[in-house]
Formats: sequence, structure tokens, C-alpha cells
Amino acid sequence: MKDNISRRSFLRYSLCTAASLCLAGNNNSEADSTKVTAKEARFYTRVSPDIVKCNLCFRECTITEGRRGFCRNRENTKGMLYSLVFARAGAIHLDPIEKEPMFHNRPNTDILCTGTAGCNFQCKFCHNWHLSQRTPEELSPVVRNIQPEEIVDIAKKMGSGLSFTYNEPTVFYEFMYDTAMLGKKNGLNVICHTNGGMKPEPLSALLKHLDGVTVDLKGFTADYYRDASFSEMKPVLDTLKLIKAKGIWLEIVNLVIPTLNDDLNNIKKMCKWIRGNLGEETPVHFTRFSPSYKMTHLPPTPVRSLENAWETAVSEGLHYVYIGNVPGHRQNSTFCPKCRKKIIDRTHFSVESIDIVKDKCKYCSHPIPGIWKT
Amino acid sequence: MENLRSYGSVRLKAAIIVMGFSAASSQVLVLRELLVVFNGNELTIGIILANWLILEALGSFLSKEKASIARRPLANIALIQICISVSTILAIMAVRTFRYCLDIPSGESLGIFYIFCVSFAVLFPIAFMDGVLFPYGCRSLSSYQKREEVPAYVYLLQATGAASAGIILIFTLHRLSTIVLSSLLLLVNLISVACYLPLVTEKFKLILTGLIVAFSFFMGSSLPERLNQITAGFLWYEFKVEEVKNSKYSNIAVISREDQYTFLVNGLPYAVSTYDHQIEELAHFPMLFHENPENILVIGSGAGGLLRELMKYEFLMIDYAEPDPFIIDTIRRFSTRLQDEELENEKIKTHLTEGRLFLKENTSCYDIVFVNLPLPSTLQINRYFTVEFFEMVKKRLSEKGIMAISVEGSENFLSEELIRLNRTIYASIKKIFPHVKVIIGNNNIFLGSSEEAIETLAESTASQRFRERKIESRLINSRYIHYRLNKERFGNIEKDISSSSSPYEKTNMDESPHAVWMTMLYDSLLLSPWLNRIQISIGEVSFSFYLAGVFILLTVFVIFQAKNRSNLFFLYYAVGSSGFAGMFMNILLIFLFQIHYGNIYHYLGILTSIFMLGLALGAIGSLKTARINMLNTEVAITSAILAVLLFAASPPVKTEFTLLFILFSMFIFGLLTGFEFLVAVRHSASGTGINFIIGSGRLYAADILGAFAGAIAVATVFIPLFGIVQSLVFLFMVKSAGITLVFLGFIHKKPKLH
Repeated sequence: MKDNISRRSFLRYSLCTAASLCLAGNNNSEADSTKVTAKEARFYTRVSPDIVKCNLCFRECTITEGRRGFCRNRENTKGMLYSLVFARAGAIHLDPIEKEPMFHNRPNTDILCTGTAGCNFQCKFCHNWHLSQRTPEELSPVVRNIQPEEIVDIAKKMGSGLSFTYNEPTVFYEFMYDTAMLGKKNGLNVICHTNGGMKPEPLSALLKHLDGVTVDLKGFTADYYRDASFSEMKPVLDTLKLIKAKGIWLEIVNLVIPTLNDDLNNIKKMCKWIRGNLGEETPVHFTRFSPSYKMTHLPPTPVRSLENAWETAVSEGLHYVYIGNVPGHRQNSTFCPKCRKKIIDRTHFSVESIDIVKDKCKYCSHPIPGIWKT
Repeated sequence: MENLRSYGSVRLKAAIIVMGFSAASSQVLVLRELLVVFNGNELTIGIILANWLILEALGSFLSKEKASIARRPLANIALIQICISVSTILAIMAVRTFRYCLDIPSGESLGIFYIFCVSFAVLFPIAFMDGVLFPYGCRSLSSYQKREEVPAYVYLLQATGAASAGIILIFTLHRLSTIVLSSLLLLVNLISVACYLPLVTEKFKLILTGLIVAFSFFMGSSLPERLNQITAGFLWYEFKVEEVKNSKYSNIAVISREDQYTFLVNGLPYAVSTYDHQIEELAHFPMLFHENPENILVIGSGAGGLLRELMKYEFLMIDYAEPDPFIIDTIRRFSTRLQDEELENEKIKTHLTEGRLFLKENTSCYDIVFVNLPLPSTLQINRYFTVEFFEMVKKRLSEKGIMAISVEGSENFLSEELIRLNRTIYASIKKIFPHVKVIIGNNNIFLGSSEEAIETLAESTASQRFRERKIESRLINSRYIHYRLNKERFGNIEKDISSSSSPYEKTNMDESPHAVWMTMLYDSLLLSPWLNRIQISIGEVSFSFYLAGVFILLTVFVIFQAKNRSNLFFLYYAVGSSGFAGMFMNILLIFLFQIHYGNIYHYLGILTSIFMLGLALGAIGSLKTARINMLNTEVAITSAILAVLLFAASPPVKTEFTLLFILFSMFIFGLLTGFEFLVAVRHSASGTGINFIIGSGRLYAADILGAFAGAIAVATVFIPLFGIVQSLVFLFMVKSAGITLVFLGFIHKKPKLH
């Protein structure tokens, strides 16, 4: 009598069964339905017949045949780089411009915001991870095919501006560029919200068609950028300087996350750098974090931490410092740096009153930087 | 001489009971710590249990041959016993400190990879050694007991120890800290070793006594508690940890930074002591949809925000159902001015009971019922998102009453996963309430009512009501109401959720918790995208396909057994599938109990103890009734599954009968699986030529592997995806194949059937 199970025969039977199960279960034919259309990308060079180098962002991905860059939406097909998200909006939505946040550019107006799939950062705290950390195929079921002309038409009908946001607009550069150019031609207020990782050449080309840019300055140490966002800080600082140099309206957002980037020494260094390189009139928004994406075990930022950051920035000489995502907070409004009077009264995204006349404070005529004409 | 033998036997048996007790206690203590760190849902529990079981099986399997020839098995047992207790303390410390050591932020949610690796690493010494104890226990007891009865005794004694651990922990877990409990466990094991190792040298005796005395002093001091506080501090190492305690229901911690206290329940933020604007939305928007709200019921998180906002309404009486008094006590102890206001207010009546039980037992009528809970990621939370629950709420609502419940959403974009989840909840509410309104936001607020007005309410009316009520709010004003209720902005997202042509509008039922599956998909997308892809593939295959696949597999098994009749495969299949069925039914019955009788924490230990009692009695039964063979037990287990299947598929019966049925089924499954295991051991030992320790070690491993598969499958796939009835159909099929295999195996062994 045999004592043991015959392992070989058992394995044979099991493998046969498993294979038949797999074949039977493979009824998934979604591959074709999620196939995305492509448009040739700008800003890339061919390294060899099969290999391309993307020159759009600081990563400078070298992409082999059939592969994609870090952003997962730019693909090398037969030695040519294609954007897989052109005219494929993952989200298209009307928001108040204050939500961007952009406080010194036509307040109390709306912007038609567009976003797609993918990002060149991987922030653990991303609030839009449903878009930014997905591939075009994954978003395919909810994507809306929409051409730049249609977006501009909708914005005109709604009387709104245009914004490229939600996920990082760098990764849908071609779509953004064409829409921005058209929007600008039609006299729309065109802005974008970026992480600042774009390279100078594409950025310079794009800035010609933008009215304003909001840049996330996520922290002020290279370690933080590496650990929390899997990215680099230096390119972001270069971007900030370039936008300023080109004379495009610039606002900075710093999402203050408890324990990760709320160290006041770093905030102080950041404010000093902003003042020295971008000027004291550059608006800086300290916004409150609420648990999101991979950071759901963290509590929201203590309001006191935001107030400390605000005080630090003001003591460093910055004139327009805001506290965001804390509705009803006094520092959500704009104050004249000279007479200290409230000149734009805001509650969260709602603007209650604007006391700026001909680009100046209504009370003391101090010039207030920004774009105030509507 | 006979007396000496008997004395030795009693001490050894007591030691084996302590072994079972220690293993079960270690499992509970470490599991609880892991759940705090990983924010446990069924998937997390499944992975951790699976790791435990596979390690235990491995320990048993790898040590069976060494154990069968061990010269000093008693000494080995003693050493392993002490090692398990020490490892438990070290495992708890490791769980608490690994984030700090690996430089992982305490606020970061960790995916399946971490859950698997960390739980595997910390459980390795405990579970592996626990597995080793079984063959060594058999070897030691073989000096005192008849050879074929030995595994039965070890099984029986271990089960008795485990059952008593379940009961004892119910009463101690919330009174003593984890480190104190695990230190006590070590002390008990040291004493146990000292009692059953009489033949050791004087020197060793002295060392052991010294250790016991020293450790007793340690236990009597404040050091264990201090050690507990210090190690717990590493869980949120970047914060100031004010307090960490176990309540009857959960782990509650208070951490602080700047002037803000954060109250954490099972590792997740529950409330903060400062302003939270999302709570404002949740409180005030539903109120705007009722023309004159006076009586309110809050189920779920109320203290720490929602109650505070509701208190702003002048003529309001609020009932608040919260089962855990410790949460309220903790918030009160670390209260700021805001919390003081809400907890001391006489408008609020707190009921220390679970929401569903409160709805069942209370006869009051409410204008608005708020349900404020996280996403239904566990079967327990899901009970507040089901059609049956919404029906209970509807019965307690006034004529124009509104139910308000929130689900994660987005103002700008809903991913397919979130759309599916939101649609499931929408469809479930719609099944009960004729009118459903969704207020789109980062937390979508679903309103259900019999009153059409909630769907047609004009923004202007809402604003007017807000003004008339003179509510102070930092966020909500006429402009914000206009923004939030603006159809032009959010109409498309609302349409996506309420779309009637949706293929995903499966309703979420108590016994078919579809929303749990949707939430699992969403969670895995966030933390382990590779797992998400697997889950999607699993979910896309229909149930009949699975049945067909399993049918083919089982047919292959039957053909294999028919061709190799001398093979003992049938025995391993029977024991493994019974281990699978035992764990499957254990979890399924606990879930059924939960549906009907609420939060199970109090009863979890009792239910598990009933199962273990069944196991123990099954073991005794197997010793007494040699005439019952494998075929009989296979038929009995399959029949019991059929009985539960018929019960689950039949219309609801009186609750008292349901309770009796669940308790009885729990006992029966324990009894039958325990019984069968030992019949199989006896069978493998009789006439097969396999050493009985090796044979029982193999069968023990098969039993545990089956239980491992059951732990993973039932809560993470079967119940959420297919519901209770279909899951039972699947199980019935698996066990029916067992009958055929055992029958084929026995044909070969004719005429000796046992």
C-alpha cells in the first residue's frame, strides 16, 4: 500500500485543472474597449531609432519602444512619443477661481477646469489621486472625449475662464497648450495649477498663453520632495523664478501637513527664499490638509500650525499670506498691506465684497498687485 | 508507581491546556495590535489569520518527524512555551515600533504588502512554535495515554485552553493594557513549566524559581504599564501621545499637536478638538431640507463635532446612540470648550447602545436621522448601509422625516470605483425611500425621504430657512448654499450616481453585503493597485462560472482518487475541507449573529468558545464512539451545511429562534470538525503504516491549511461578492465532493471501515 500521495500525479492533475479554470475564467475582453487614442507629443528627442527621450519635465524619461514615461500617459510607439490623453478629459468642471486657489486674478469669477489621467509626481497626500495616479486606460470608462475648441466654447457660454488642474497639467501639455492658445485668442482668463516640474523650454512656450499660474511649493527640503512626492525640489524653484521673470501672475500654495512639513524653520527658509527670489508681493497660501490618499491616518492640520506659518511668513516680510481650507478664518481674506483694511472679504470660496478700485486699495490707494479687471 | 504516572499525566494535560490558552491569547493580543496599525477590515484580518494558520501548519508539518523521536519532549515543550510567551511581548513591541524603525510616517496607510510582511514577521515565532507544540504534545502524552487516543487528547486539551482564553479575554482585555496582559501570560507559562518539569536539576529549578519571583515583582510594579505607555508612544511617534487604551469595542488613543487633540479609534482619526468644516456640511445641509426639524437621532460618530453643530438649533431634542461609553469619556477628559458644550448639553440624550438595536427597541419618531460612519469597509459597518437598515430607519421617521447618510465622493470627479459604490448606496436607499437627493461634495450626503420636497427644494428656500434659523456657521451662508446646491455645477455628478440604467445598481443587503466588496475594491485601488486588478477579475466572473470551475476541479480529484484507491488523498481532502468549512461557518455564523444582534464584541468570545467547546466535545466523542467512521462524519458535516443553507434561504423567522439556530450551528460545526479530525487521525494510524505522530502532524497541517483558505476566502470574497446563500451553495459542493472521495477511499479499505 502506498503511504504518501503521489506528488507528481497530484501536481499533474492540479495543473491541468488550474489551467482549465483559468481558460474558462478568462472572459475579460476589456483590453480593446480601453484602448486610447494618441497624439504625437511635443518636446522629445529621438535617442536611437527605437528610443526617445521626453523633454517635458525634470525627469527626462528615456522611453524604449512600447513603454511609457513615469507619468504613464506618454508612450513610445515606433520611435515616436505620443500623448495618450489629448482631448480626453477625466474631469471637466466649473469651479470658483478662489478654489484654485488664485486670489489676485479676477476674484469672484468662475473657471472651467480640465484634468486628465497621470502625474509626474507621486504625492502620498494627493487629493486628486483618482485622476493623477491612474492610467488613461483605467480612467477610460469615465473619460469624456472633448476637443480644445469645445472646451473654449463651453467656457465662453458659461462666461468663465479656463484652468488646467486636478492632475498635473504638464502631463497633458499638448491638450493644455492647444486649449490655452485658443482660450487666450478668445479673450478668456487662462490659468493653470502646477507642481512646477515642467522644463523651462515647454514652460516658456506655454506661458505665452497663460494669465496666471498657481504653483504648489510642497515643502522646502529636498528630502521632503523625495520622500513624500517622489520628486525633486530644485526644478520647482527654477519654475517659480521663470514664471516670475516672464511676468505672469504667480501664486504659491503650501499644503501644511502635520508632522511632515510643518516645521517652522523650514517654512521660514521658504518664505525668505520667496521674498528674495519672487518678491514680497507674491501671494502665499498655507492650506489645511485633510486626510487623503495614503495619508488617511493623519488628522487634519491644527489651525494653530497654519497660523504659526502665517505669522512666520508675515514676519519674513511677505505681504499677501493666506490661510486656506479653514472656512471663516480671518486670514482667508485680503488685507491692504499699508492701511491693514480688509479689501477682499472671503468665506472659503465665496467673495462677499471687493474694495479694490483701479488696482488700488479703496481706502488708502495703495497699489494691490494682481489682475483685477473682469 | 501508578500514582506517579497519573500525577505526571495530569500535570502534562494541564500544561497542554495552558499551551492552548497561551496560543489563543497571543493570537488575540497581537491581532488587536496589528489591526490598530493597519486599520483592520476583513481583508486585513483574513491576511493576518491566514499568516497565523499557515505558520502554524508549517510548524506542525516540519516538526512532526523530530517530535516522533524526541528524547526529552517535555523539556522541549517547556522551552517552546516560554519562547511563545516572550515572543508575544516582543511581537507587540515590534508592531508598535516598526513604523518608527523603518521611518514610515504614522499617518500613512499601508498596503497589503506591508500587512502581509509585518504580520508574517511578528507572528512567525509565535505561530510556528504553536504549530510545533502539537506533535510534541502528542509525543509527551504518548507516555501516559493509549497511542491512538493521544492526538484526540491533545486536540481536546488545546481546544479547552483556547475556549477559556476567549472567555477570560472578554473580561480582561479592556481592563488591562496589552503589555500587562502579555506579561501575565509569560508568568502563567513560567509557573506552568515549573509545575510539570519535576525532574529537572536543582540548578535549573533554582533559576526557574528565581525567574518567577523576579517576574512577579516586575508584574507587581508599575513597570509593565509604563512599558505599555512607552511602546504605545511609538505608534504615533511624531505626535505627543496622551493616552492609549482598549475599550470593550475598540482601541482608543488621544494624540496632540499644537493645540489640537485628535481622537483615534482603532488607529483612524475619529474626531478632532478643533473646527472641522466637513462636519458643518453634514450637520446643516440635511436640516435645510426639513421645514421644522425638532427630534433628531444621531447614529455613529456624533461626539466631537456633529452634536456640537446640531446644538445650534434652538428647539431640538437629540438622541445619540453610541455603544462605547469610553469614547465619550475620553472626549470629555480631553475636552476643549467646544466639546464641553456638546457633552454637557441637556438637549442631548446619550444612549449607550448600538444604532440598530436602538432603532429596534425604541419607539420614538424622528424628523431627521443622521448616520455618520466611515465607508462600509467591514461587514460590521456595512450593516448601517443596507436596505434592511434603511427600512428600520424609515419606520422611526415622522411623515416628512429625512434620513441623512454620507459616503465619500468628490466635487469634481468620481472615479468608476466611487461611482459604483455611490450607486450601490443610492440604489439601496431608493429601494426604501421613494425620494432620494444627493448633495454632491467631497462627502456626498444622501437624503432619503417619503416627501417629494427633498428632490425639488429650491436654493432660495434653503437659504431662507438658514437665515430664519439664525444659525452661526463659519462655512455655510447663502452663497455657499447656492454653490453647493447648484445643478449646473454638480448636476452631472448627481446624474452619474442616480443613473437608473447603471449596471452597478445592485442593492446592498444584510446578507448580500455588496457595498463591502465595492469598498474593498476602492481601498485596494488606493493602497495595493495590483490587488485591485485581481479583485476586479474575481468580481467579473459570474458565480455559475465559479461553480463550474470548482465542479471540474472536484471531478479531477474524484478521478484521481478512483484511480489511486490506496492513496490517502481522500483523508487529507476530508480534513482540509472540514478545516475550510469550520472556519467558513465560524465567520459566516458570527456575521449572521452580527446582522441580527448587533455589535458582536461582547459575544465574539462566547461564540468562539461555543465553537471550541464543540471541538473539545467532538474530540471526547471520537474517543468514545469508535464505530462512527469518516463517511458518517462527512455526511453529517455536509447535512449541517445544507441545514444552514436552507435556513438562510428561507423567509426570516422569529429572532429567538434565529439566535438558538446560530448558537446550535456554531456548536455543531465545532463538534463535527473536531470529531472528524480525530477519526481521520485514528484512520491514518490504523493499518496505514504511518507513524501516528507523523500522520497526525500531516492531518493537523491539512486541517489548518483548510482553515487558512476559509479565513481568506469567506470574508474577503465569498460573503461580500456572492452573499450568504451562494457562499453556502459553494461550501455544500466542496463538502459533497468530500463524501464521494471518502467513499472511494473506503471502498479500497473494505471491509475495515474505521
